[in-house]
Amino acid sequence: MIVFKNMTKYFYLRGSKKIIADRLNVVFPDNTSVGLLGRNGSGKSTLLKLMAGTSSPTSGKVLRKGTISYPVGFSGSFHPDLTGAQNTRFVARIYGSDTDALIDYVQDFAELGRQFYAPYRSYSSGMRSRLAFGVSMGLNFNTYLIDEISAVGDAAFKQKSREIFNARMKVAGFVFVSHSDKLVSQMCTAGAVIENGKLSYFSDVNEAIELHKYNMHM
Amino acid sequence: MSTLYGRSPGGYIWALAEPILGIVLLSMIFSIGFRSPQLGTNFPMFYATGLIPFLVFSDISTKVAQSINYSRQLLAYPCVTFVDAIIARFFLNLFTQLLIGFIVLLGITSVFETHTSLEPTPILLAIAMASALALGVGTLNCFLLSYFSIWQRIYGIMTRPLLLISAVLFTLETVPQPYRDWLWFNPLVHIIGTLRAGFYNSYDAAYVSPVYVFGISLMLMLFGSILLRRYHNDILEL
Repeated sequence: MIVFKNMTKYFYLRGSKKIIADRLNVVFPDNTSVGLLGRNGSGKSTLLKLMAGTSSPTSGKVLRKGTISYPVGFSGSFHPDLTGAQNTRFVARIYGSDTDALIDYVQDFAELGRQFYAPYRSYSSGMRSRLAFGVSMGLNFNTYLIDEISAVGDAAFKQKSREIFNARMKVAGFVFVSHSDKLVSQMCTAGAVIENGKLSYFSDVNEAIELHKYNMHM
Repeated sequence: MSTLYGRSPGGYIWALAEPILGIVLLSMIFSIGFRSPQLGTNFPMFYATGLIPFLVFSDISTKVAQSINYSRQLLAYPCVTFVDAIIARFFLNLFTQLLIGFIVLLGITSVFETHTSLEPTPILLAIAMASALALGVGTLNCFLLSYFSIWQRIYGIMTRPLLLISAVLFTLETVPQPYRDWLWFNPLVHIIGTLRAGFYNSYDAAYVSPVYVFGISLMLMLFGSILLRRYHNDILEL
């Protein structure tokens, strides 16, 4: 569970004030998958960082219960000069998980073949997503923060990811950032929309999608 | 370690090349002009005892200063902090540099007759002072570099003459006044003097003040960590 308590976040970008969150009071409940929607640059990724704790709020509080993942995505967290296997081992160590077991799991799941032992910087974006998704699913968290990872790969791979995802959703919560309305409506039961520093939470994902569509057409 | 030396072929070996080439070059140039170095009889040994601590300091301080920029990706994990990054880079580069120093000095003593006798206490003191100063400068620079990207250039220009004023090529005692007193304030002069006192029996480097070096290092470290603690989240968002 993650709670924003009167949480405000802004920073200065080239001298102009950029407000990400303006006095937010929102509860992301346990065992619920929430789709986080918003236009480009509205601060979805920063919200994930605030939830994870890698970014701290300007004022107010972020309360967390249970273990919360790092923001899983193909943009950050893996070091470009390390191989996929080395990155996996690093993550296993910092989360106190069995390194060999996680390596086996990721190798089996992500289907990277020999590329698994090549530097991460040489990966295509599809391979990056598969690695990021595989590593995060190999670890046990109460809440997963997923940033823009869509199901990639062939139909069989998509099917496999969907199955793992559905199984995990029964025991853990998700916050799922995506641009794709379709994906969010398939994956999530609840939704939240961020617009101009205000976050609206809906327990029905379809209402969130409606609002997001409305915002985008304004 | 792979992130640091992995890219160039033979990566780790290259770290050895810099001090060796530097010592060879200095020895060749100065052995043409002078009959014997200011201490002992062996040019490579004299320059090695100056250049190695200098490079230990400059390498560790630079690497520590870059730790946030270098490990930026890994700082995306909430349980990995900038303190981990700095400590990891400090120890990796400290051991690398000590290994290099050991190899180079061992090489010189086995190839040449250097007439040196080792005294462990000043040598260990010199290592301790060099690493403390490098950690201090590195920590403060880590903040300045990450927060003001222009700092890298400013620091580069400011420290360009550092090799000349750190008593690498000469001993402090041979510098005329009042410059000798000015140079005394450069902490590297103390470090290099201490190391030479550990190698040359006749040299005692009486001017050295470990309190001064450790004091400066501690102050820089404290200052740097306070600033980093306050601003590290902002740095990661830039």
